Amino acid sequence: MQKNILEYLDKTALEFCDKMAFNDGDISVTFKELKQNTEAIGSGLLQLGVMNQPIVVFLSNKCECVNAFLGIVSSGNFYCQIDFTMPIERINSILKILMPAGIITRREYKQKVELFQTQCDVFFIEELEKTKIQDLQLEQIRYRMCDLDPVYVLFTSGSTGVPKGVVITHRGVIDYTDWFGETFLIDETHIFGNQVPLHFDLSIQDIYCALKYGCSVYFIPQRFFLFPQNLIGYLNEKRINTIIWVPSVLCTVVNLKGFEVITPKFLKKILFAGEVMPNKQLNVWRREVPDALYVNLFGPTEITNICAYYIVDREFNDDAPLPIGGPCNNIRLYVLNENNELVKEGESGELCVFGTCLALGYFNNFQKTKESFIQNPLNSFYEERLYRTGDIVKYNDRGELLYLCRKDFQIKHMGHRIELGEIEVVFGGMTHIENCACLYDDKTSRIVMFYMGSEMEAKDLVVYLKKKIPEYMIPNVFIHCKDFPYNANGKIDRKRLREKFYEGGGR
Amino acid sequence: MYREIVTILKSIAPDSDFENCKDFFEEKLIDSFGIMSLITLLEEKFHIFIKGEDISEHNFKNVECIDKLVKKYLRS
Repeated sequence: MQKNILEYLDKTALEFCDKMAFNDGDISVTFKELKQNTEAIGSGLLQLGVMNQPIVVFLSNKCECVNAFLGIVSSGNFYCQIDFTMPIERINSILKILMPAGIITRREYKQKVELFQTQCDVFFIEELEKTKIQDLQLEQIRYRMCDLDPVYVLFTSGSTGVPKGVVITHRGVIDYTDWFGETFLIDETHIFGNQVPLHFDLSIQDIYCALKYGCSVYFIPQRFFLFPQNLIGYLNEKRINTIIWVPSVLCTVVNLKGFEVITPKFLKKILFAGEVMPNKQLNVWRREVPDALYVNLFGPTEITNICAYYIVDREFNDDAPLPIGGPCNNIRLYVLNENNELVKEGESGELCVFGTCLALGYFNNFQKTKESFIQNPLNSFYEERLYRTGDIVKYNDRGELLYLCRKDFQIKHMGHRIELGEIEVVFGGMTHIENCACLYDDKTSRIVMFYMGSEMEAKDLVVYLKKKIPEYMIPNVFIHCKDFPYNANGKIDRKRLREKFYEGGGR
Repeated sequence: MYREIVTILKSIAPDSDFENCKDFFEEKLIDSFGIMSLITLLEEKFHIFIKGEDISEHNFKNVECIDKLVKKYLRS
């Protein structure tokens, strides 16, 4: 019976002992060392004498983070990584919600940590790693733990500006890792190239597939992402065959003409999630790396990362939307309309998720939890908890789900219901467009399109779009941008884009 | 030419001191999205088309290097 993510490591540490588990350019750990570090850190945290409490990880080195994560779990608690580059104000607003039992950092970051508004104990990882392992106590803790205990808390931005801490369980991570491994046939021959930060849940399969299957994971150092030549060179040098990246990064490789110089030699599985992958750039990847498996993954943090996926199995035009496909195994999806009924053919609605993958809710915020985690309105007989994603989707003719937009991106314009995402897909398919984002200006009832790439006459853009979408969906304002604001995870920061628009006087 | 390149760089990251920097990447003045904007702007401004093989750390690490690269394209 499996109930704890550390059971993965118990097995792999025996089977793959001296094989490299994680490498971040500075530090490399084998499976045996990882287990050793985990148990030492876990033993060092026993002095807290608590269980099921959040412990903050404030470290910049990804290998050290993983050691700390697992150490915290082995002490019977759960981890919360704080983005190392996060402004201190935001860190403190998170600490206020989280009230952690401890913080793990390095001695050299002591001054930074002193600015944290918390009274909790501070541990230095270099000391924790030297703790004598307390086998018996760690074993007792493991026995007392259940699979519905939290394994980590991940903070996402709340629409009101107060961060929300999503509480994810051991069960959720085990469910996701099992599904990922079975669906994409993961085994120890897989070498992952990690791109996303560890405080972003798209990193979950990178960590836990390594633990479960004995895969090696390279945390690709940030500087390699500057130039595609260097990035692909790195992938080739390390023989990386599996990547799960955000689309923006895959697009950068294309837009910076990376394939003119070098092609990935070993890549076999290319997955992406976190935002919409434009087919224009995906088609270039498919041409350049034709033998790879391409998968569009979709899901919010609240359901342990991914709830739907689509294996790219046919040709798409540059301006066609890529489906998000169907549910992962052991997950059921409902698409509900405004009256909480299942959508009819062709109708769009909100995606709702059911399964063991659901988070326990938002940490220290029952109010927000109640709003998003609801009783299935179609079931009045027993408890069936759904997560309302706030994502608007619809089924295409093939019965595949299409992502349309966020619930709050859906607009009414001149009496029509419009999904801004739809306009972006069509507009982004034009030859000279590198990137685009569409907003709705409520004040003046205008659709505003921001775009990157060659600057063009608005007149010509309208002529093109009229061929593709109904007139009422044509943007009123086109703003050419030299660059877009991006958030820490590499997604377009739409809030800042909107602010820029108003700062510019709403041209 | 030199001034125009600095102006373009400033339009991407107005708060950075590009002129006195030997290595933009070492000092993290610019990220991969910034490079994307930079290349588009250089191509538009000077009516050139920069080849993939020239999009490298070496050619973009400071103003002198970019200046040299643009001159190479303008000659050819």
